[in-house]
Amino acid sequence: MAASWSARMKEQLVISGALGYLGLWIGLPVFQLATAGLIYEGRNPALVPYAVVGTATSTLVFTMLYNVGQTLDTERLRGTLIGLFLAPAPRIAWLTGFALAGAFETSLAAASTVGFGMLVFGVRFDVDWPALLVSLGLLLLGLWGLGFVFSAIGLWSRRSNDVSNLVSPVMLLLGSVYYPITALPLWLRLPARALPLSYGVQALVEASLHHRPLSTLTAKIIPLAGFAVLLPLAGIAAFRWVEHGARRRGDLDLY
Amino acid sequence: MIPSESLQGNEVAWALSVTLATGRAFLTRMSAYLIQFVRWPLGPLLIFAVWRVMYGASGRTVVGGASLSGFLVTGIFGSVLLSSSIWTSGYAIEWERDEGTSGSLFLSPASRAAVIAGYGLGSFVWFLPCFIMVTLLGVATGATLNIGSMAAAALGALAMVTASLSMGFTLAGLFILSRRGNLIANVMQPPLLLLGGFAVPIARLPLSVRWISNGLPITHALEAFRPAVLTGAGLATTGRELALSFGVSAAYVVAGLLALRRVEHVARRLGQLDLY
Repeated sequence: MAASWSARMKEQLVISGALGYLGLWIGLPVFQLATAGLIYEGRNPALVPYAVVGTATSTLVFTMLYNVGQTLDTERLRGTLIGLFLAPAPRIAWLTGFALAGAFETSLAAASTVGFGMLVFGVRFDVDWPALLVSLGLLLLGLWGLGFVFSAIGLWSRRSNDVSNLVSPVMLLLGSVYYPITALPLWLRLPARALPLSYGVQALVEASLHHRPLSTLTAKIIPLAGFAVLLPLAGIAAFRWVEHGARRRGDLDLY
Repeated sequence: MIPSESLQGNEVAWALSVTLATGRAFLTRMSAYLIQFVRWPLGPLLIFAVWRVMYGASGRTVVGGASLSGFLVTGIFGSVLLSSSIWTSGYAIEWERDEGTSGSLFLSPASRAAVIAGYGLGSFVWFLPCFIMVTLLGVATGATLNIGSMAAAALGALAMVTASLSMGFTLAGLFILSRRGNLIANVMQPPLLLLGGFAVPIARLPLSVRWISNGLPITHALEAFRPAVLTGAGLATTGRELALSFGVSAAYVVAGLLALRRVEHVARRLGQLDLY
């Protein structure tokens, strides 16, 4: 796990350069938040702190899609996937190592988003730490599993980047990133409630901005806990399905 | 992709032929995967929906003097054309290098500028269904056309397309010479999406960053196109922004041609283009 984490970190830094790496991971969420801030400022400033927490949380989704979700297909394109499958190391260890490298980038992006929100929009937090940590932990587990599901889908489709680019705006629209779920038209609220992100963002907003304790967040925490159990199982199942298919057909590196 | 010998005496016809052939090749390549047919039109539609819900939550119904949906539809047009200049015309030579065909490209007698224009042209065709769907969604959510002068509207649309292509020319050279094309493209896209005035009017941006907006031809083109199609503005109103857009576009084309000459030098004299 440590070796794959280290390899992925070095690779990212060498490809991007330190400055490019920072620009990429800090720039994206900051400019997204700036857009939201400029839309809300002056008319509904109460949504700016919401957007800060939502944008910071959305960085987890981008890591889930563009990092974890594209891992297998990226390795295939480089011709190293077969090597990884044949290596005498637990699959879950190197997959998690890659995911942890993504977690570092996510932390950087989330921290810059929160810092930007505090400095530029004057957002202040009133955190209930147990509620924040439980909500974040459950959301992370759910997204970790979902990332492996998308990784399998990306490898199966051979177009993981296109899959990520297709899914990410859906997540932005339905994931309650910039607005509460009640801002959506009624017919869009149903699919929004099928996503762990919408529960996660709402719970994190309540816990970090309004000091709401866990006992008042059960309506968000219970579905999040369900996702935290089911999605990792789905991720493991999807990964096994891909590996089984690859071993049976032997076609992983044929195109 | 090389045109027939009968065209080789006529530079313009030859360049046009290369542009059309490259555009066709681009469309063929994009059509190879089913997911491309879904993701490209759907992405801008979803971004329109995100911006529309955000503005709805903010309580604004009029933005930049236009109806909310009208403002956002034109903004999506601008953002799609910006994406086109970054990821297709701007990325043209990078695509060739990624696919291992840049060597052939530089050995062929085809104009590199025509190849870049071909990528841009192909992307405009590729995005046509997207433009139509976004327009329909905009109309369904309250956007109304108000064209007072067909000339102003047509010149505004021409300025948008010209701005996109001119930026593509500059970026094509920059990306390939920097050897960090993908990184630069990813880093530059989020700020340009904000500074281009697509989702937020330029007037709402802080003064300290507006000079960057003013340095983008697509910003001026959008500032001319929006009032021409949404509030019935004529050439007297949009003329200044049109002139700025075409002027800045011309500067980008010159910079792009100089960068391409440098790329040519690196490819032919130094033989470095495909070494990394």
